[in-house]
Amino acid sequence: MALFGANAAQNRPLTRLQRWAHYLTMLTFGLGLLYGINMLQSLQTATIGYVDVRAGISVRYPVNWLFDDDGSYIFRVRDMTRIGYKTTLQISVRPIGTQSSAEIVLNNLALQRSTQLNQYRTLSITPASPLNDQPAVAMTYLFTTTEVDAALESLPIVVLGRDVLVILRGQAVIITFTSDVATFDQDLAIFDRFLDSLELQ
Amino acid sequence: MAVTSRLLTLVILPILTALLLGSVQVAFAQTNFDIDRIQRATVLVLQIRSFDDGVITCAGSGTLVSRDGLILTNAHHAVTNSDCPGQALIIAMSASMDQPPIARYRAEVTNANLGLDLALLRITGQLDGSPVDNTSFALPFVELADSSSVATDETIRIFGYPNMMQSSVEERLGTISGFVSEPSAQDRAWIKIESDVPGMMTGGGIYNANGQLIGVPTTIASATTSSSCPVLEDTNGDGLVNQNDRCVPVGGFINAARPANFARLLLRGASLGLSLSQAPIDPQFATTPGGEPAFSRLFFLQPCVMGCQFALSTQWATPAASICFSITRI
Repeated sequence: MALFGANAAQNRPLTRLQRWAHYLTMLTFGLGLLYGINMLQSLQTATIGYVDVRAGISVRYPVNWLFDDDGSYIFRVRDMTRIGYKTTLQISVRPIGTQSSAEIVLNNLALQRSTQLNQYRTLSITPASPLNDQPAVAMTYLFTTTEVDAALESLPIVVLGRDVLVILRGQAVIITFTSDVATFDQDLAIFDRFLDSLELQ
Repeated sequence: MAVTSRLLTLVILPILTALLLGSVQVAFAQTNFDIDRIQRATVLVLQIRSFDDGVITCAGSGTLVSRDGLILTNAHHAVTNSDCPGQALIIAMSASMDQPPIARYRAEVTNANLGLDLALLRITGQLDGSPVDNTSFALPFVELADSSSVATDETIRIFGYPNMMQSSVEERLGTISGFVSEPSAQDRAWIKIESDVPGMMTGGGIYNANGQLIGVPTTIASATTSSSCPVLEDTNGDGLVNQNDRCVPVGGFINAARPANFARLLLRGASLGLSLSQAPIDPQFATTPGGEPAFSRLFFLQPCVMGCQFALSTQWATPAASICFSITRI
């Protein structure tokens, strides 16, 4: 009888309150999980805005990336947390003739880089998705570089790069993305978000 | 009787079938036009100011004529001159036939004849300057045909790059409308062609039905006389692209070609390490040579030279070339 009673206690159907408590717990757990994932995504894809009125460029780049505008470019950001080659996003402009073309500018860029970068090779020049409703051309290339710290013995690093060029108001706007070939495919999402946020005025 | 006719049918039919198939195969062999190979062997020749700035000064098409990187093109956009003052050459090729050309190699003029407006280039390195081992090259190349066998009204196909790096190799159909003579080359100094060939295809290749190179389409481009001279880039470094910058001359539509037999002499000379003719740099391109060579004391050589000239214009051009080169080096 006691056994029958214990079994009867275990098999007792849930009350309404208990049932709703279970539901609420599962819901809370699910919401918490979603919230956590959303927070993680936000942290990983957090961006900061950059506006250059003179160049007519507005874009958002990843936070905590090192910013500089001292070179022959409008601006450049690099992910300094990377080991080896620092993934880089860069925007530069070049004057272009009305009878010139994106392919000529890209090939000229390739010629100049070939004298500055080791083992530079252009892989392809293909049409790209329109940027701000303007037709764009993409050039993919690679080169090799070595670890900056001479004390570290390392193999040469193969870097893959992609330039997206769009012609606007008599100038060629060149958006450059370079990354270690091992992480290039993963980092391409960063470049895509960068391009999506780009506004050319 | 019925058995005999059946036997005959069984014997004759296979023989006729074999003959028919054989003739079809022969026909295919005679019209073996490897368009893919020709497209891959066609290159874009860019003359640039220097490797430091990469400013394009002249451009035209070219054709690979050997697997180790010999390129046949026009001399007017390859050799340094007043209209094309660049000091370096870049060879661009299309990675695939649906993509525009990409700069790939550096090249140098290995042999040129300004009077014929033909030049042979040799690939000397990668774009970044790293050396290449030409013996390890396996580039697609085309064969040269005997251009003296070309006839009027023959259908031809012209290959080259139609514009500056915006599209891949293109083809134009045409016909041979005649020949133009010059004193030194008798009656086949120029091949006249009827086709819609844009000026940038100068230096490309004209092919017969067998896919062999029979001529080099040629048009002269000059910054002062060309119908088109686009300003492409900021050549003076002032940050603007305007009339103060240097333009790249592009010749008008092409209606003439140099026969491939002239290129044979350059090829033979390149293989022997000889220079056929490298006249001093002169902005005036002479399309007619300066007449017969004159010797002051070596009177016995004149008959030899005349004999060489005759031999070079006949079917014994190739073996005669090595002998004549030896004579002219004395």
